[in-house]
Amino acid sequence: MTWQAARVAQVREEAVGIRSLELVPAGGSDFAPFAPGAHVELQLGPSLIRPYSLVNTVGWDGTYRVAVKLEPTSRGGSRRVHELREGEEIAVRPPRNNFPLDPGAKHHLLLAGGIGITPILGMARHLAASGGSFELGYFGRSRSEMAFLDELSGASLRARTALHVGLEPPAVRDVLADMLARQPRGTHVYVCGPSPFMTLARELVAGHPDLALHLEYFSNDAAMPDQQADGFRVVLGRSGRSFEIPPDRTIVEVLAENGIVVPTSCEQGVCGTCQTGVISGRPEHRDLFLSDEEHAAGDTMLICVSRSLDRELVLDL
Amino acid sequence: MSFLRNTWYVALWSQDLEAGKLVSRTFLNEPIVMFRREDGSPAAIADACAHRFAPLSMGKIVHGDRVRCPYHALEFDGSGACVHNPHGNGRIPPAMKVRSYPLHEKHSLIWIWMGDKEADPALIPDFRLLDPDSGRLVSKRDWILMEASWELITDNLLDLSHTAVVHEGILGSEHTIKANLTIEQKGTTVFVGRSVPNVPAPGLYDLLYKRDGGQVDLWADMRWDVPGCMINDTGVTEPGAPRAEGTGFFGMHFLTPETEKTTYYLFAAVRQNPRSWGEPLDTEIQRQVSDLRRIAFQEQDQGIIRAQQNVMHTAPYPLKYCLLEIDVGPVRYKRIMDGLVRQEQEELQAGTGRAA
Repeated sequence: MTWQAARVAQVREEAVGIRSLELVPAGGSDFAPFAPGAHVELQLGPSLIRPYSLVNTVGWDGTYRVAVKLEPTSRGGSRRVHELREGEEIAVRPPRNNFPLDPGAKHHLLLAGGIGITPILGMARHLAASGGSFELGYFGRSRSEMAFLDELSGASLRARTALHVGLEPPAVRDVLADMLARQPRGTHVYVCGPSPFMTLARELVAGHPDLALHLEYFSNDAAMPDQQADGFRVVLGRSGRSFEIPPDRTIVEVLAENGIVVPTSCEQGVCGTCQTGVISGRPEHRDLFLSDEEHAAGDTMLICVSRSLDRELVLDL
Repeated sequence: MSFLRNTWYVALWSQDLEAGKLVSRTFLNEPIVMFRREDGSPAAIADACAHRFAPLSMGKIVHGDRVRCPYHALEFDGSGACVHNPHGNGRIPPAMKVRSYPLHEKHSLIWIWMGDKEADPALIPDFRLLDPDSGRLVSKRDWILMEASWELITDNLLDLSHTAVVHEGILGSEHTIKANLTIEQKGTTVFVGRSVPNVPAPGLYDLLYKRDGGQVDLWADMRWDVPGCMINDTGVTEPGAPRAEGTGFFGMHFLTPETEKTTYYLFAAVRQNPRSWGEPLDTEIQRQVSDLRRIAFQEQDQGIIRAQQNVMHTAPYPLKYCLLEIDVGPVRYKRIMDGLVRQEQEELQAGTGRAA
């Protein structure tokens, strides 16, 4: 899909360390509409492409609004977003949705941890406006670090929202277990939050075979819907050796540590030196060397920056 | 690396091929002589007589349509055929002909086709902004012969971060070195977007905009087409304001290799949303735009690229670029050109194309 120019029309502080951006089309065509749970990719630098969930689902005014938490360990995405000023232009790719509401669900349980509130709030707004049945649990470290509290305590959402502030992990587990146990059969559960929160939710929902689970992954920088948040495994097709790639390391780095040196030059996804064939698994492309068609074909990737959509990636090495 | 042959190169500006005159150029290492026929249509033939290889460009135009060899007075028409032999019984041997090259005049440029495949004018990229009847304000349609390879010049033009360094004061400044970059490819056309918000207007832009050195948003978006045809949509506007409220120009850049190491570089600037300051200032501004751009390309760019090329050609060890984010544009065009050249060479070897 092609990139579209967008202008930052408004920057708003939503909470300590959380900013939201309102993006408007900068010339050319209008933005494409989207459904709750959708995300857009922002190009924040030549090899810095990050997905962010869209918040403004109801009464859509043609803009895209995203909320981003500044991560101290940011590899560029959230830091760059927090540097953006009103009037600056960036490129945006039309929305995709890996986290849609199930139209057949009779009841929805929406669970957000921290900045994971962004897609969850969009869903809650939509359900409230369309008369859907839902309840929302929002877990955060402190009120000052939780975004959109004004709206969540407003008339349309207050009655169905439970805020859980400053809970220790065992207490989070108890609250979640409790909420899940109260759900009617066939409830669809939607979860977005930091990795431990998602893992906990997954574990607890597994004990309720009558509940349907939807997960929106997000990792270091922001909502990362497609990426394997806990890392992934790379298998070398020729030798059969396999390596775990943790979320904070690149494939090239891990291979080099294990004595497998793949030639590189820019290590920024620009020059193409490390281009490697993909035998199986879907790469999550983060480079600017390959064309859109080559990205879509998925049979080759730049292992200095790109990652994996699947748990396992088999490379032609 | 071989040159791409089956493509339209820019030969020269229409204005630079005057009626009744022979113009010699070397494209892709091949000496060529160009002239206008009696009906004004342009013609290009090899600049070497088929008899003893004297350069035809040293001869003259006779009978309106023919080039007469300066050595033994054989006459050739625009198709390369010998049409008059003044010697002996006047018989013209079948081999007495020179190669001719398809030309097409469009967008105030004369385009030349160097390959053997059919020359389809529909393949010429859109440069209607340069059409004489576009009603637009155009700077001098200028050119220089640059002592640098077409590849190094293309690298320069598709990575405009250098404007902040090489053209400091004219096209950029220390404030414009960091920019937002985008890249997009449609078919074999590459778009490289570059924008810098809220910076003091660099010299040439300030000259066109408010002439007060105030803050602006700057953009410079390059469109590249095979083999070396570029439009730089560039300008400045109030911080946060739409581009349509600002001013700038479309920088037109055309690169045609003379040899592996030298390149014809044609350029002009078509103004967009020009502001008027009344005369004599408007005329003066147009002159300054032409002059400053020529200085930027001929002195500043050529200075650094020629030196760079010298380093590369004399290096006693193999060189490999260590690239940066700013190189996304150069890397992309190079992939496209490499692919096209490889394909052309393979076709030649497979015999599906005729030998060059």
